[in-house]
Amino acid sequence: MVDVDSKAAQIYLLKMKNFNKAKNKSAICLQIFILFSVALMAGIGTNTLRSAPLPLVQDWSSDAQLTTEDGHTMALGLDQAIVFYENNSALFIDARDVLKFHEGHIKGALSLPWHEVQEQFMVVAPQIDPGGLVVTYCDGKTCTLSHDLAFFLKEMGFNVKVMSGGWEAWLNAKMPVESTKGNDENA
Amino acid sequence: MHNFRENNMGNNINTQITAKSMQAIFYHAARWILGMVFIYASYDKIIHPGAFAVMVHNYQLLPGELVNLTALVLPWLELIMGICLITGWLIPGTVIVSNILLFIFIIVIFYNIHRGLDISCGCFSTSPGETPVSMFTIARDGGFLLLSFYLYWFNFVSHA
Repeated sequence: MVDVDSKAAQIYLLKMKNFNKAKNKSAICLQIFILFSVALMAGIGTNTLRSAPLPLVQDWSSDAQLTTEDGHTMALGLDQAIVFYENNSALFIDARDVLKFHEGHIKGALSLPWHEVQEQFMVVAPQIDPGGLVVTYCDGKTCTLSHDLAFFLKEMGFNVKVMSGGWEAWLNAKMPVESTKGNDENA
Repeated sequence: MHNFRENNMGNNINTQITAKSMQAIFYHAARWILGMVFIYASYDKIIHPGAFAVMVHNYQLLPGELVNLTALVLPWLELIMGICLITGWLIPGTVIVSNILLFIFIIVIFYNIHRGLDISCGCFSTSPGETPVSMFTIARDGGFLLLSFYLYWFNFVSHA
């Protein structure tokens, strides 16, 4: 009889334990749900109250990103970039960090790393022809440093294009490159 | 003999009390530090959602449709989590979310360093001149994750 009782008590305790566990779990899930829903409501709510709200869904493709407000695109294909380079009608600006620039860059390009643009712009600016074309580039198709730099330079009043293929495409096309030590490599 | 035993007991109680209060102090300190970190991380991003969206996009991990929604909601989630950590509201849920979030941040930053992407962290500031992500960023986030993991341990393991 005692055995049955203690068994019943054990089962009861086990049930209670499981019940508490389940309750705890659901309470935690509820808390997580509350956190996310309050954040969602606050984020979207404050956005609609802004004078210039951010669209909830936006086209982030590279072409759309490089289109200016007046509808012109700043994207420049490799072929066009090569034409400008060979005619010497554009100044190339490297938006990558200085180390990468030192390792290798488009021959004749200037270095203006996007991460140091505020400090370096005044150093580089006098070397840019205000009426000429500026072409920015960075690592390759996936980097956006050249985009950021292009919009910055455009705001500063320059005529800017972005070589979307970047350094990678330039290397693949076996166009002239150099490293800062001055070793020209006409690959 | 009698005196010795009494002293010994007193010492035991004292040590227990000190250990418990030390743990309580450390627990509250961890909560407040992490809470302030989350609040500090959120405010610039809440003020400049557009600039933060560009940073989220630069990580190149989310589909374009989710970039703006993440940029709008994530900073608020950080702010609310910071407030909860400091006030003590919804602590178990907040602790779980903070562990998951910090873990995701570390993986994402590590992955982008690994594939050579030169991007700004967007952790505390949305200004374009911010230094790019590095192993230092990962070490810093690792420290926050340790704090957060301690809170998890305190809430779910040591008092289970």
